[in-house]
Amino acid sequence: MNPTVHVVDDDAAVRGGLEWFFESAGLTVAGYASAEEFLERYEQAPDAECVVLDFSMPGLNGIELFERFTDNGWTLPAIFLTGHGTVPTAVQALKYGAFDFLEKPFADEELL
Amino acid sequence: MAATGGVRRDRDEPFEKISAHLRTTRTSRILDADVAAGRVLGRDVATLCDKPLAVFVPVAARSEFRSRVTLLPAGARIDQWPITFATASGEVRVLASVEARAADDAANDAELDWTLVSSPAAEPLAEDQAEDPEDAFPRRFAELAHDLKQPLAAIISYARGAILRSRSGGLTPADLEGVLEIIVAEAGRAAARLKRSDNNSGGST
Repeated sequence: MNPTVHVVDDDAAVRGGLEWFFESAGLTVAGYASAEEFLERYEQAPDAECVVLDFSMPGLNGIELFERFTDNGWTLPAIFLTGHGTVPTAVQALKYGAFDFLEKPFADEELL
Repeated sequence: MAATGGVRRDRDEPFEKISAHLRTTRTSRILDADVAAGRVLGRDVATLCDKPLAVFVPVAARSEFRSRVTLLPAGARIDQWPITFATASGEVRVLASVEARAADDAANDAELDWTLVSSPAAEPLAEDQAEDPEDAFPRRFAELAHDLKQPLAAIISYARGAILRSRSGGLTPADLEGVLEIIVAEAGRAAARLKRSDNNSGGST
């Protein structure tokens, strides 16, 4: 069974592009328009292998989502995406356990 | 006239919109603030970057927001970026501080326009202080760059995916047409953003 990559981004085009790209690479993909939507899905079936998520989203942002994960003792490899590529932002993401931190637009091969 | 800290604007002049996502209500609340964590909690989310926190004021609820903002110590600088602001329900990206006002005072669910100011933390709004062009340019450039990154990221992902499928023989003509339509639409989105920026700057390109 192919690993499932969960894509969380409020921008529908970015999310759709990532879903298309991962599917093209042979991966199973699930997309979510918000961190809350992903969290609800994960709480019901915590089987995600990896999550690619936008750093800044309306509602719960990427860092807050990971705080929830930490609070619940969950671990999940996460790659943060951001439109604001600053060193402090990257440091904050890594501090919260991000596997990687990529600034948009990114080379999709980096995600594989 | 609405005060914007570093920016003088007439009441009828639309504020610059940082994000198309933001919608809020006059029941918006900033519930708590934790400077050490660089976070303000509430119902809306805005991300602040790179400048001292100043004033966060929707005109319709100015006194309330002023009192909430004083939860932050005068002169406080926040070194952890981005920080998360909470007001009602949307995304706002801010380089310095922010003011908002209801576009329609009669509406219960009013859309707020947000703009940036450069006042230092917890100082009163200065209505007659014009925004320094040296501050405005990098801010607007950062906004433009951010807004262009979204469609560019989408275009790259769709194109790269199509290349992968083409190489594996899995790209149907219908798939290709669909991807190209999306790419055209996203290129149009980027072009529209550039045109808006050009119009706002009075450019003629």
